[in-house]
Amino acid sequence: MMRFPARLAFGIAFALLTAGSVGFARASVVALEDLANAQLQPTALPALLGPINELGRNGWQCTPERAAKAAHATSAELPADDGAP
Amino acid sequence: MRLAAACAIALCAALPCVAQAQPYPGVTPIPHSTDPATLHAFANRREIMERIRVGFRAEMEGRWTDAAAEFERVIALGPQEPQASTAFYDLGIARAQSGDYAGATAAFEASIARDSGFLAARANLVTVYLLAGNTAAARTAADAFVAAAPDSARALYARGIAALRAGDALTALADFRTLSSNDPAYAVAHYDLAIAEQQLGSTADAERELRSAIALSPSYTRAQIALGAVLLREGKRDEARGDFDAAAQSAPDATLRNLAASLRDAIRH
Repeated sequence: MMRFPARLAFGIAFALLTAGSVGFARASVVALEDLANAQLQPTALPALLGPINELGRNGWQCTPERAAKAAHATSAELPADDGAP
Repeated sequence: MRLAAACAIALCAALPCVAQAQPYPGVTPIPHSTDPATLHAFANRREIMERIRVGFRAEMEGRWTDAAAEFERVIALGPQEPQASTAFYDLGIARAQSGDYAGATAAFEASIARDSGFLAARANLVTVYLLAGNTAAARTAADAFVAAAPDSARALYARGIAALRAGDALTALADFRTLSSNDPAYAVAHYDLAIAEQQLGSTADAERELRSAIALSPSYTRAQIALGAVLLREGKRDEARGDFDAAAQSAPDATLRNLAASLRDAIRH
């Protein structure tokens, strides 16, 4: 009479452990995917362009206006691909 | 003899033209007036120019509160163009740097209202709206920026970022494609193209763009980590682990290095 409940208890414990392990593994996969997906974010905002002196934006030395107008990204004061976060 | 005389006359006639070809700066006229209104206008203009100079210097030194005070005074003096749009523009920078985004956007809007071709003001307006988290207003400002300067790299980049944040991946895709075709060496455009492709569910295209970004800039760690994430989505776990490992080995930044190592180790277990 005592052997059957013991077997049942073992069985239940085994099932619980298996379910727990599967759940833990699934949770790990979900956590990994969540962490990986969180990395797929757009790049940084463009920084503010700098101040302009009393001559206004039309002078050839007006760096901010030239950066705003530039067709090439490298002249436009945009974020670089330097590996920074 | 007659020929020599004709040549001499012709040379003498041409002399004033030769003299005109060499311009010299004119002498600034000294105002000779006792009229109170004229003197007041002259003093006003002089104060405007001087305060913009002082405010500009304060901004270059990062003294934002001092700078804002100077530009507010300039605006109160009622300057003409280009000093009016310049004062509002510089005030916008001082307020943005002080964290007053509402004040900054109002200043940049006022600057653009006085000079609609002021592209630097349009650029900063988009940035401040994005900093403030107002994606809808950033998008409207970015649309106006692109309309004013369709070839501007900054306009395309700013609208692309605003569109990605708003979930409009199609607009972002078009803008970053144009940016990339105008400047094929700019790896960041390929990275953002990949983010747009991924938002549209095209993981294979996202993978291709990230590989292009890394080919252009082998030290682009963020692109390498993003490539690992895309490969993971595609079920290519071994390749993803390889990319995370490469990023963990090469990242110059400790935060990215630890992140890449965590992702690599999470796949292993």
